[in-house]
Amino acid sequence: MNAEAQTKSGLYLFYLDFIRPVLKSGRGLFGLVVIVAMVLMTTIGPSLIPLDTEIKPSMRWCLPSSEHPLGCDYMGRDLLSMIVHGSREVFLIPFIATIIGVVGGMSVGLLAGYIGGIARRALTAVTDVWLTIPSFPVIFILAYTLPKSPITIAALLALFSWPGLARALAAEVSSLKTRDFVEACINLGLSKLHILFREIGPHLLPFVTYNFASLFVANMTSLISIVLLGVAPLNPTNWGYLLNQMIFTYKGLLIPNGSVIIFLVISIFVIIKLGVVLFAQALEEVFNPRLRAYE
Amino acid sequence: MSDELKSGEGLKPKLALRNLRMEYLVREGSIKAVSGVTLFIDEGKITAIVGESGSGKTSLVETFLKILPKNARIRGGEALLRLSNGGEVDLVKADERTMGRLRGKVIGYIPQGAQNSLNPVLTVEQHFVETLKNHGLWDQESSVSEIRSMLSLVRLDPDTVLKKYPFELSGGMKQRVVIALTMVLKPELVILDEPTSALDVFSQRVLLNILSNVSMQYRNTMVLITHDIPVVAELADRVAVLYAGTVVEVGDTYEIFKEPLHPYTSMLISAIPSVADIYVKRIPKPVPGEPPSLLNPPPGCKFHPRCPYAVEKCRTSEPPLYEPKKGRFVKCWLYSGGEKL
Amino acid sequence: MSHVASVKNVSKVYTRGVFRKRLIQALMSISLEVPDKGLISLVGESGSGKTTLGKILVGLTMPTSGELSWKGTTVIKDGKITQRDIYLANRHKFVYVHQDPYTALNPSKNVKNILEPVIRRYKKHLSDADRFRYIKELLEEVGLVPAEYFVDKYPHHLSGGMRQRLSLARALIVDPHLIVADEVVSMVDPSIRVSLINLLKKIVESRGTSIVFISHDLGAAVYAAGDSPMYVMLRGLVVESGPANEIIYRPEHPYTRALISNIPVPLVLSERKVRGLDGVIESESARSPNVSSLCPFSQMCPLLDAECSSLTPGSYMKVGPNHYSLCVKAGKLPRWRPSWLPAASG
Repeated sequence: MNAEAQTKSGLYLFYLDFIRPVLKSGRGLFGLVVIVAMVLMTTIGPSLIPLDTEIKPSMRWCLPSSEHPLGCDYMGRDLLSMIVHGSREVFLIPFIATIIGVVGGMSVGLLAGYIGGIARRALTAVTDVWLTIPSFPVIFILAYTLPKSPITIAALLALFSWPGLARALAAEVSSLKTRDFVEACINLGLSKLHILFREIGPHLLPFVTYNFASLFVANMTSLISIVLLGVAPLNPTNWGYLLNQMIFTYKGLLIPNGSVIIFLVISIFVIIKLGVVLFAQALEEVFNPRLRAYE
Repeated sequence: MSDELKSGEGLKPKLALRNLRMEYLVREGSIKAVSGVTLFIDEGKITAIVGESGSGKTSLVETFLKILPKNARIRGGEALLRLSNGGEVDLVKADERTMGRLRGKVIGYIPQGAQNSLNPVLTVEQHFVETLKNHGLWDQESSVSEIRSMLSLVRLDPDTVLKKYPFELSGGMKQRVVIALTMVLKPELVILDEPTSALDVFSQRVLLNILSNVSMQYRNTMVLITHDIPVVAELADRVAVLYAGTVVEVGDTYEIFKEPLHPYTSMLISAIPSVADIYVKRIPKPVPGEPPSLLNPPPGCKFHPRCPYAVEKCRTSEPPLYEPKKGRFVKCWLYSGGEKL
Repeated sequence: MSHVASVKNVSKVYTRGVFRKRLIQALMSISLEVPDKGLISLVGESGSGKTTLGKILVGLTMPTSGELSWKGTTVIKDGKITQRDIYLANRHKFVYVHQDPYTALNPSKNVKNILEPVIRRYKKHLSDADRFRYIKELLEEVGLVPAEYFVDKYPHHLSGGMRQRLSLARALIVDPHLIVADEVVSMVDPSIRVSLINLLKKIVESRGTSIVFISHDLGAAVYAAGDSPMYVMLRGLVVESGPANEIIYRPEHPYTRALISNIPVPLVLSERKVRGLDGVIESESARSPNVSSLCPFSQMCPLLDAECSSLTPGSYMKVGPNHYSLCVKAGKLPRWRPSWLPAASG
């Protein structure tokens, strides 16, 4: 191939390779915006927008306005500030849980897949059993009964995050192991660790990225759901708690304005989920062509 | 033989490609896969289009058959197909409906690896029936015997093969079934892309015989796309050599091999090792360098970086297609003015 | 004469199916030697067992029975490793280069990162600066020049021929005793096949590495071996072996003769004439009934007769100083010339 096409600077090519395709695809752009918003919400959000603790009975269930961009809750407090302050618990705990689950799942999956044979079959057996356990009811019950702390909840979520990934990863590695370039590395005596992490590893990127995003979204949903259904939150700004209060305690669904506000909270959560997933999809598309050899 | 060849006068060619241009749009720019192809395919003959990877031979066929991928753009030129009823159609300008009517019944196309595209859940017989019915050629009385004679033509025993499923047949047999399926529609123009590449020596030999017989029996026009020089030497009447998306030489097989005019043609033929080498005391010599990038092709003649005869003119301007003799074309400055420099 | 690798009576049987009942005999009773600092060719169609044999020679596949020896020491016998420490210490010196240049290289790594792990493993003593120089020299040795241009390219930037050169470069880092080049020119443009074969020959010459050149292309195999040994394989057996040039001139096996005769050759006649199938029985009905033979060519051989049932795999007829044939009629075969040779000249 011609030298000229490749002398464009490395940085430009990085832009072409990763950033531009993501920006160009509608999904990528949308997802990126959502993720940036999420990051801002958890980091500088709470300092920029003070938590409105003032109870204003006259402002109960007020609809979105210039003063209250997302309206007010059942106590007349600004909803936007509740959402922003609650975002920390709603994003960070599932995020940490997902990281633990993915790292755990990857370690087990990679090793089992690479070793193959009995190790892989044992892993498959264990994960198959694990996957049949209905995760949500179990998480709910355990979260309800065990002492409340961020670690407990993160651990519970992580516990059910790793099996699916481990199993699928083991299958991926197993199949990649048979590829010619891996055989060449084995033939040349390169260490198993090197082959696993430096040769096979990069090929797993798209797969892991997408799984990470799905798990993150699932864990967020689990967390909000268990709090919505009555498990005590760590912080009253937890969106699940907001919804719990709005729907059950203050019967918001029976009030027209109330329904709108509840719908608004749910919608925000749905948009977040959508953004994360779509961004992961866009990233996956970007990773894949790089790894596929073309003629 | 030379009398029948033309460049616009006398007998008109079955397929006349003029200045065909096509490019693929990719993120780094555009790949000029077909850059100004002018080629006349004679009727009733087997013409081979020879090229290596990056020559654009498959792209060329996809261009005039209009089966290009989404990122392809036809930038100009025409592909005039002369029909048996006397009419003419420019394939480049034809719409999808017209192409649909032509594909199968008028133009037969056997792409590379076609033997793997047989429907695994249909028997050979069912394949034929379906093909004929889809093109409205199924006739209760005559079709059965036509199918049988077509299978015999490709040296397959109808009684053995008709009831079999594709997985029960060898690669060579499947390839022959595909050829029979294509030919049963009696197309006027048949295009085959690397028909012998996946076959062992004996199956290949049988297939070459079959193709030759089909050509002689049906007197149709065949276009063979390949990089296999020895196969071309045996099977083709005419040869067109493609390099970097353009035609560099055209002529009768015998003349091209006896006296190749374009430096690339001559070097390419000399580069192939053969079992015959020891008998004729020949040592193959590789072609230096690499095929050029079609993303950023070299200026002037695209072969000049590898050409031992290149002069300043070759580096700056692309030569036109000269015709030093009737029916003999070469795209090289060495032949300007009909003379060798 | 010393051999860098040799196999004696080696066979390979694969078991397939759910109950492992179906047996596939990939190799049957093969004995051959790879000379030190030499190049030999293995020729055969797909299914002939040439890849299996190539992989056995470098220790990638375990033979079901028979012996594998490296530099005179038997390392594998009857399905077991006999000299474990010697085997493990020398495995990396017997390298296998794959056919498909598109899958043999990790697509997510550039040239430098493909070569570096191997260099770090086998040339630990090199400093960073030395390592860079080593890479440069290596790339120049295999013809990827200018080296600076290639170091940061990814496989998809390279042509098939360039990729094969890179695979070879990677193999050379270990200073191998033997390279098994399996169909390394099959997926490469015809015009540069010869330059790759020339590179292999150069490697034999300059480094003293032995090379086993595996190909289905008889022309390429003969060009590579020249007067060195060539082994013609069919369905798991070697049917003929000897100096490549001699085999082409004086083939002493019906299969070899049929191969030579039926390959298309670029000798052109003024009028198109496609030669018929020569020396091969195509249809089953034309075969001699009542003759069962272990000969791998018996299904298609025009010379099949009662004598052929006495054939024993592994026992060869000597038809020249280094020239052997599996055919029981070797030495008594009728006079022959390839069908593409014009009748007049010789």
